[in-house]
Amino acid sequence: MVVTRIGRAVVVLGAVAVAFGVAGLAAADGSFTDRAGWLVGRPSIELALAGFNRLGAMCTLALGVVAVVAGWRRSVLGVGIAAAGFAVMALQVVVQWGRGANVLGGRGSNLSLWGGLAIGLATLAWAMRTNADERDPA
Amino acid sequence: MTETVRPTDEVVPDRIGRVILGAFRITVGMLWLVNAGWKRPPDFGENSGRGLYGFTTDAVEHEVFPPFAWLVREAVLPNFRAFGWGVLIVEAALGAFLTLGLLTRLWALVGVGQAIAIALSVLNAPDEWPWSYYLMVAANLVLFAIAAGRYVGLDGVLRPVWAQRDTWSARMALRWS
Repeated sequence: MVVTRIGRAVVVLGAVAVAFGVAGLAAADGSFTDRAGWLVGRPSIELALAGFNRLGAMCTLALGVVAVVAGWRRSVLGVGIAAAGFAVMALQVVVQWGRGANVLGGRGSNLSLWGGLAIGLATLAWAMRTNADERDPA
Repeated sequence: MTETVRPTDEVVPDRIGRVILGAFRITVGMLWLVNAGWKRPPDFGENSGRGLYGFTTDAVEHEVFPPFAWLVREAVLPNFRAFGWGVLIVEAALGAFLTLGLLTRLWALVGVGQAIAIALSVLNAPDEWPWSYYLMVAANLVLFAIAAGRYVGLDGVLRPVWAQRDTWSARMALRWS
């Protein structure tokens, strides 16, 4: 299967999400939906990249895998599903962070990370849809 | 026969140059992304006097530019929670768009504005390093100048798609990418 330029960009974004998901799973401890979250990065040198509990890390990892496969297979639907999933995760930060519950353990930087993945993947899904060459030939 | 070289000849970066420009843009994007992390709703530090609220009051207590200090005192602090949400959303968006390299020239200008606002708040505050804020403004200006999303960024992937479409949104995307 030929991976196009846009498909390759989708795969890269998915791979970034997979990397964050794996790092989040490695960092997370405590309860599955720990509201404080566990930081990925090095806070001591101002590189606290994002926060995750186990649920947040697993969702990030799963949607990343969906994006990688969808980019590889040129599936507009798959890329759209991954984008929608990350949009819901970003919205969860706005609704819950700093309050009583925070089911994904994220913080402001997760809004940027998950929101960026949602925007990037949605834009690429649109580009795949408008270019016949980019769609799954099947 | 000698080749004429003019100072205004366009410089096309080689592969290493493109990777470095992409890495530079991602670094600036990460600067905004990481710093969206400590702006915590719902009070953004208003109850403790720390966090974003503490830095915002620096604009009044350690005045840099009197009209800006007046604006913060009269308009921002009385509506601080709404302002806090605005800062969080803008900085999270800066982190997202600049890291992706999507509509980079537009978001680089937003970054310049936000960096200037931060500088006008804290330049005179104790224990601050003013050059870090000058560099923040400069870094975002450079992203605008070089259209940094075209190197290892989504602008580079999507500009050919936008160029094929004769719509207002595609023309705007081409202009701001």
